[in-house]
Amino acid sequence: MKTGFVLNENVRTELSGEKIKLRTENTSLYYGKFRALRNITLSIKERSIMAIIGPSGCGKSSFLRIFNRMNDLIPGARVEGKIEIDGNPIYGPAVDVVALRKKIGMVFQKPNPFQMSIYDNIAFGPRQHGIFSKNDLDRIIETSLQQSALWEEVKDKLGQPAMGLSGGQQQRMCIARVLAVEPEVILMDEPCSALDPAATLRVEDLMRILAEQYTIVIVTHNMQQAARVSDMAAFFMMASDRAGELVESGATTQIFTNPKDKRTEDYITGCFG
Amino acid sequence: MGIRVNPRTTQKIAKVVIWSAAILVLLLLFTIIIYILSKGIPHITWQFLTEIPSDMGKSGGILSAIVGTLAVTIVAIVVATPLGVGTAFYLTEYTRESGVTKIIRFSAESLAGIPSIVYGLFGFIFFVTYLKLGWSILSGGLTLAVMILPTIIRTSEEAIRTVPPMYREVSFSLGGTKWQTMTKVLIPSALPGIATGIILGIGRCVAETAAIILTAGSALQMPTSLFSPARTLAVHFYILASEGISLENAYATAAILIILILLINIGANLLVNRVVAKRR
Ligand SMILES: Nc1ncnc2c1ncn2[C@@H]1O[C@H](COP(=O)(O)OP(=O)(O)OP(=O)(O)O)[C@@H](O)[C@H]1O
Ligand SMILES: [Mg+2]
Repeated sequence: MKTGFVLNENVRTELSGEKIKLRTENTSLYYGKFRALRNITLSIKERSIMAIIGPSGCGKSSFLRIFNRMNDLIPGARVEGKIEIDGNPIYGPAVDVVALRKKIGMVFQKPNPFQMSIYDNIAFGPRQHGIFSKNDLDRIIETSLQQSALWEEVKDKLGQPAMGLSGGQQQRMCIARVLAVEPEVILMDEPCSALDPAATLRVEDLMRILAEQYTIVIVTHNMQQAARVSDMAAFFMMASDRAGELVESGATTQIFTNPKDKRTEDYITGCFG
Repeated sequence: MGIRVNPRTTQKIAKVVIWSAAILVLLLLFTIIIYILSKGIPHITWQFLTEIPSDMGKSGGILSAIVGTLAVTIVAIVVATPLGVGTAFYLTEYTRESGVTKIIRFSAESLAGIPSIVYGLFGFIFFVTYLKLGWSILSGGLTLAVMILPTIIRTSEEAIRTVPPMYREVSFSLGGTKWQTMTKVLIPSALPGIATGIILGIGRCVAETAAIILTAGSALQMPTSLFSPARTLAVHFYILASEGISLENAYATAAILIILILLINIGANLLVNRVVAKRR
């Protein structure tokens, strides 16, 4: 199969030996009576980037939000099956949701700074977790902003409102805000869909650097982006009853050049025309 | 088929009607305020502000009524704000829509429509007689607190609902607890709306007469504790005017009442703006 897109050169195809960070087994998600996801079994390796792709409404965002239990906020939402981080269950009476969410950060589709200064935005998470000393906060804020490649642009205006940043800067600030909590996993739900191409490339570069240290799961509609940044990819699709199913998953190179399933091939070739 | 009117003509007519309505209302309001101020201010003297009434209010000042008004209002706000804002948070954040929330909301809405004299009667029976608090600032303040509770609940609830849901998600996703999300994200964002409810509540407290007479009494002396009976400015004005004691002093009292309400509104707005500006 011939497709005209660039694959990520840094991709690590030899992922077999690495540790599994996140795992679902036969996981289903219900919104009330409606089943949004059916029997998803997927493993995500530590320090890799997993791209979740698929048509609109197939449950990509829902899948992502299973891991940090954001679906708990939705009345009537319910999950079934095994969901684990480092082999430990994510759901269950013994789980400390606050500690879990500290470990699993999330970047949303729309940049969403609080109406506070840049400093206070990034300090928000650490303060929630009991860090108040100015020295510690200053250090955390500088490190996070450097990691998110925003430090040089904002170091002289940390006290200014975050709303005054450009969209791309806001999104990188939101990434810094997540990094400030020192998570292990970063979930990204279409993080670049509100950004222009230049800002998108900056965030993609950033993701590659972050993957050295963090496990990243990204939902994207942009196939080029999935191909450029991800190590692994999972293709979701809606079944006839509108429940989302995992069609296939594997190394990004394989999914994009040699998909096993006809539906994956159709979707990917459809996207590239 | 009806007559077709040129949309531009409709627009012109609508413009005239809307402008006239606005101007009429403004004129009415200003006429009342200016009328009362012009009749009242000439009688306001230093002595009027600093002395307690004598001779039933014919002479002397209104200091005890000013103190009474402030005291009753402060008690009401201090009691009603945490209760009202707490209930609003319970309804929006701590529970899902259910029979219970419907009942709470329905009761609050029904309470909002009850005439104040009924609250007065309730306050008299419950606080004054049953709890044996007597005619006092405390009874009056508690009665007013019950009276303004529905307003505070409803405005706070609306204010909390207008906070973008995204902010909650971000706070939770960063590992915030419900309490932290409430105090660090929701309250600051909803503050202007919550403050509006409180200001409306203050306005109602300051303006109330019937419920106060039944629960705080109409004593002319200077109140000395929460258990003292007291007379508020609105009650003082009502008695002066209705019993024909002194029309001049009635107008002067009304003028002070209006000025007080203006000051409270301006002060509260400044305060809210400062808090909001600090967060931007
Ligand atoms: N809060 C909710 N309550 C009920 N149904 C929901 C809710 N959120 C999502 N759904 C349904 O679940 C299905 C999957 O939605 P989801 O948002 O996960 O899809 P998606 O793949 O992220 O779509 P998109 O690519 O458009 O973002 C859809 O049918 C949607 O209507
Ligand atoms: Mg989505």
